[in-house]
Amino acid sequence: MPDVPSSASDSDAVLMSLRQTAAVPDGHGVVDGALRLVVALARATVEGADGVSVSLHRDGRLLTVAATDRTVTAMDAGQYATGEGPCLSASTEGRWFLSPSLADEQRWPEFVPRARQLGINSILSCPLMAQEQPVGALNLYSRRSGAFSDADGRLASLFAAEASTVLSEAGVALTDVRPALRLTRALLARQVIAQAQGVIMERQGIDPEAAYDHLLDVCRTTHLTLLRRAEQVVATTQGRRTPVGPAPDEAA
Amino acid sequence: MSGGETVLDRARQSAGLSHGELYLRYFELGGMSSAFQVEAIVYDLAQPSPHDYDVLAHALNERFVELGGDHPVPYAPDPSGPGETPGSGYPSGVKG
Repeated sequence: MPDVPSSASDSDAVLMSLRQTAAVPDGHGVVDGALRLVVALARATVEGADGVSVSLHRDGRLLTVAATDRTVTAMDAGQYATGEGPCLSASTEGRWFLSPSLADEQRWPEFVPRARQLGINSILSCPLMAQEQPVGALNLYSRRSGAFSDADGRLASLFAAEASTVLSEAGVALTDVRPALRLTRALLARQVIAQAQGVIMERQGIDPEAAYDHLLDVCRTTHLTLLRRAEQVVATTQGRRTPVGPAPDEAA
Repeated sequence: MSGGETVLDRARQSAGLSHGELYLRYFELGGMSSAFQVEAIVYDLAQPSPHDYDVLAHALNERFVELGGDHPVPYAPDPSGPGETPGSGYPSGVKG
């Protein structure tokens, strides 16, 4: 692990030098080294963080290129394996995702139990951008619920911005694959929602908009996404449990 | 051109969404209007159906949930509920 500066002020000069360092063409080596330093600095200065990692899209998949410890690596791996989690969402959508309490988290039902088993209770993932496209995420993990203060959020954004600059200036290759994947995901989500509408229409003898409202009613009072709710409804039509989870009562 | 900032556009900006990203999210949730129409709705230059408005409001609200918040953007009033006035804007206070 690289030496960790003793204070945030020490880190400023180091961060400034990263851009020049990363600009030296050296395959992935120099870039990864710079990102490992960003991770170590973030771990040392963001008070709420017990562990930090950087995930990057590389060779068509998301990889952890820097991590402060094995638990963090396992947290990232759990998200890659389940295909969900704040790291994946931030890396794909280019927005930051905060989960202040995994005990109350409903967005990633396959991943969250794995995270809690590893003793993690809050997560903050900030997107890493290159040429205005998301290319990865800076992930901060904590054993405590509500660990990340506003100041922590600002610091994390600073480190993510620095890491993004490193990646941009290192010329991280981008393709048009991710926008295409985003559109594909949107189309698939529409399809699932339409299927759920159909199920509710058939069961309750109502029109498409009323069926949509039926889906939406649940989401208004919970933090369940509309897609997730639709997946649950569609799953009730299947004879076995699907990867999207058990189906709740849909008999209203 | 609408006179002032609208609730929907304030919400869009607070959520950190570009018009393009908001449209993609709206589309993902099953929205049927074009990107141009959605932008007009956001600026209160076009009147959506209650259903279309709800899809847009929910696209914004899901983003707020991602950011650790709740559902700050109001939904359209229930047409079967009391006090609904045909042709009125929805919900009250959408225009800021």
